[in-house]
Amino acid sequence: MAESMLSLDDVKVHFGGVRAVDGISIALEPGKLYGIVGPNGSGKTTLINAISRLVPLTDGTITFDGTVVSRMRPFQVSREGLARTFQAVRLLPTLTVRDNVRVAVDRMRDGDGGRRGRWRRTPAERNRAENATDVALERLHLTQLAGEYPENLPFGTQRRVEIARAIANRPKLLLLDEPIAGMNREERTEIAEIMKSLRDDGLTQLLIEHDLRIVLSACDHIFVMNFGKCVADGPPRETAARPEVQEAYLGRKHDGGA
Amino acid sequence: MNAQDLLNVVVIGSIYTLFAMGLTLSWGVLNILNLAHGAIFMFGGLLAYLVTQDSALSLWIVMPMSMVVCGLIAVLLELVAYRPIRRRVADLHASELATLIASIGAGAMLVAIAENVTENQLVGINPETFVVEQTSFLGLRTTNLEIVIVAIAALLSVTLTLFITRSRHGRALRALAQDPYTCGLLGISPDRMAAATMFVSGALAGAAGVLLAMQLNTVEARLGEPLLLKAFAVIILGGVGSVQGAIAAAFLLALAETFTDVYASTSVRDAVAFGLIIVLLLFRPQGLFSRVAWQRA
Amino acid sequence: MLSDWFSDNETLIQAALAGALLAYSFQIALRAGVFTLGGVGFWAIGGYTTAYLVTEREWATVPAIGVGLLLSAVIGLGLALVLGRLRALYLAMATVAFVLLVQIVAINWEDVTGGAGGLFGIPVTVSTTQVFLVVLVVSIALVFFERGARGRTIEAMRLDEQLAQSVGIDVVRERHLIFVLSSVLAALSGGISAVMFNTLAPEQAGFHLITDTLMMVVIGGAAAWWGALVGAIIVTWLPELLRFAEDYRQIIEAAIVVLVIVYAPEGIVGLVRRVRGLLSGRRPPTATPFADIAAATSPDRGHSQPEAELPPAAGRDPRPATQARNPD
Ligand SMILES: Nc1ncnc2c1ncn2[C@@H]1O[C@H](COP(=O)(O)OP(=O)(O)O)[C@@H](O)[C@H]1O
Ligand SMILES: [Mg+2]
Repeated sequence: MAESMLSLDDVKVHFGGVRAVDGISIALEPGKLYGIVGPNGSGKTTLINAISRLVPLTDGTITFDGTVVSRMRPFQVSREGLARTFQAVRLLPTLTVRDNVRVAVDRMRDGDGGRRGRWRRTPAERNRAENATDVALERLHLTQLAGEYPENLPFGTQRRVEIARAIANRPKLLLLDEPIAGMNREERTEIAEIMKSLRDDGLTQLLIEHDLRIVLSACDHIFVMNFGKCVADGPPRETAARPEVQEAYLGRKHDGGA
Repeated sequence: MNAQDLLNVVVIGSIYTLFAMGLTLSWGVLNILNLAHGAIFMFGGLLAYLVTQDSALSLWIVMPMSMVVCGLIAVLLELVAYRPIRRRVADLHASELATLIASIGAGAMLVAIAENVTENQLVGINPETFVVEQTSFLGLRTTNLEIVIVAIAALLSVTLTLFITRSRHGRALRALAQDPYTCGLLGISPDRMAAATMFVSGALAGAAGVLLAMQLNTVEARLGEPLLLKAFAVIILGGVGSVQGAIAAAFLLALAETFTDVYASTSVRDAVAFGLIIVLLLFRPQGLFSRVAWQRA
Repeated sequence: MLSDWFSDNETLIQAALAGALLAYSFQIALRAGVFTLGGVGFWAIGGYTTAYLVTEREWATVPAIGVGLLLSAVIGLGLALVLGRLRALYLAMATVAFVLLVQIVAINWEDVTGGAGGLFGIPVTVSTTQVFLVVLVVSIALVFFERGARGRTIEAMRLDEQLAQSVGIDVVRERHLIFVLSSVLAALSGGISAVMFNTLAPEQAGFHLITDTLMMVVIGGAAAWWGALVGAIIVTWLPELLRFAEDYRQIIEAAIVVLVIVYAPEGIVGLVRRVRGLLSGRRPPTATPFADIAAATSPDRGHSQPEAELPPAAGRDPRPATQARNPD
């Protein structure tokens, strides 16, 4: 088996009595697009928060590209090459679109893979950061809007800025928390295309999404979560058709149309 | 440290309790750290001075009156400053900080008004309002005023505790503290609850102000300032928003201060509260008595 | 004549310059989302160190101030390590406690500080022009400091700490840096004040100075560095301007603070940006430590429900939720 990009070993996140994530063990291979589906409150977001280290683990081990990251601080995993977006759009309202993306590459350096903090940057390094910003903006079709402030942009566009920020530093793994929720059909397809093309460039992605249509058409492999556990996983179509998955999904509120 | 010192602790602790309860209430329920609380407290004493200037009135008339007026002052601050800030500023930290600064300004305004009224002099409540007499209690020297202070503090803190834990409005109050967003959906008007909370908070400060002014026999514009940070220490010690915690912490602080007074020197007495704040925030930021939110869940 | 005006108002000018440095110290912390009010304590540390070295040890002014800055940097780092994980109101009040502790030390350590009465007859060794140059240099340094990457980092730290971490910003280290920087600026203000006004007393370094300095930052506006400068000038001249109000002066001053923080939390900076926006038809959003964007755009919004995806300032624990149980 190929070295996995990310592997979780019996990961648990409990909030007091709430077992938001309750013993998840999964492994992601490099270069694939993975999906997580599951009803609301099943622990999907908490799982991503655990991987990006924004919530403390109750138990378990997370290994990212050969490094154990379970006890790292969020900025450290980020510098290891992990990027994420948030379920609610989180842009910096006082910065332009360009600067919102730029903030993710400000620490980009030569030499050490661009991860270590150092005080001054060389002009070459600064150029590289500018270029990385340009590339990310271009990729999400935002070049024209680089000078705008987020509050003047429609919701779907704000989401794209978030994704541009997440990919700007050329991460090894991208976690996307419902990136197309609240978008119209056209925008959804556009984002799905972008995710597929990122996958074709070799970026590993883990996508949380309610819209089964998108998940089924874009993902290589899906995990189904319910009550903090991974109840099924496998190729999208077969997995979604399994009775226990149908039950998990249809037994409770289905809000794919959000 | 002898029994007489302990009696002292009880009296000082009672004043701290009255002062801190109101402050912890507004902070815990509304995220308002009301630094004007000290000035409102001072206004309680000042009002008592003003109404008794010409003719003596009974303490039992003066104190309720001060409580009502101080409650209204607090409501006024809520209406003209704190509520508009809450409305405008969505970010909780930004709103807390703006509220803090607004309350500093409001407090400074009240102090400036008091300075004008008193012409920067020390004034005193008409002594006939409450004739202080020496008495003894369990063989200890005390005054009837001190007994009244302790009794009122006990009465008000028990009433408030019962109100919060037992009554329907108290439960609504706790709902507001837990989750201001959805309690609107439960048919509780957050705005009305906020105004009510501020009224209670101000009234408690007013009662404390009258009593301390009687005890010290003076009123001056900066009467409340030293108490503010002590109350902050009390609140941190007791856990933000916890009335029972504040009561226990008030007596603990009074004890610690009296202890320093007796065994060290008076000059470091004030350092106790400030040092306590820093040490506590470091090691037990959730307060000595309360548990963190998620542990409660 | 300009020079007449200058000499008539020299004390005010000096006070405004020293005030501006202290306001910078507050502002730089607030803008990075570090709600420390400890600057006044470092003002005192810088002031007393300088005064002591110049008066008792007959040091030259510059090295004396330098030692004050160094000492403040060290103590500031210590304070950052100790209080660094506190947030918002808790940090504000803990640093107020620090200020009052420093004040108590100043009152009690009579050999060095002159006790409650303070120090008199500190030799006046700086000219107004020199202080003006210092303020100019500091202002320029701040402009460069907050341009580019550091400016973006500061915005991210204040506006969304979790987001900042998730894009690789070492928030803890940045906060320490801000703490130290803020302490040093405050100490510079204190040191200069000591050798500019020739007296220094503990009562100067109390809650009152915190209030005055906050007033400068609020009135000037915290969204741009020059807000602190403008605020310092206004607040220093306010008593002069309000002289007609006589007894009501202080009431009006306090009322101005309340009005500005409630109804115009972007201060003068926000005002200028708004006017500029009207002229150019386009305006960058102004967010300050006391108000977010919405404050400027839509008046009736109220606290929006933060999505339950991340712990919203979890319970009453003053530390950020993400670090609440993360000791390392
Ligand atoms: N910080 C937190 N504190 C307490 N409970 C939380 C916290 N974050 C999430 N939860 C709870 O964990 C469960 C899973 O939530 P979440 O991961 O957001 O689900 P999903 O993203 O699948 O909708 C929910 O019951 C939620 O209430
Ligand atoms: Mg979610």
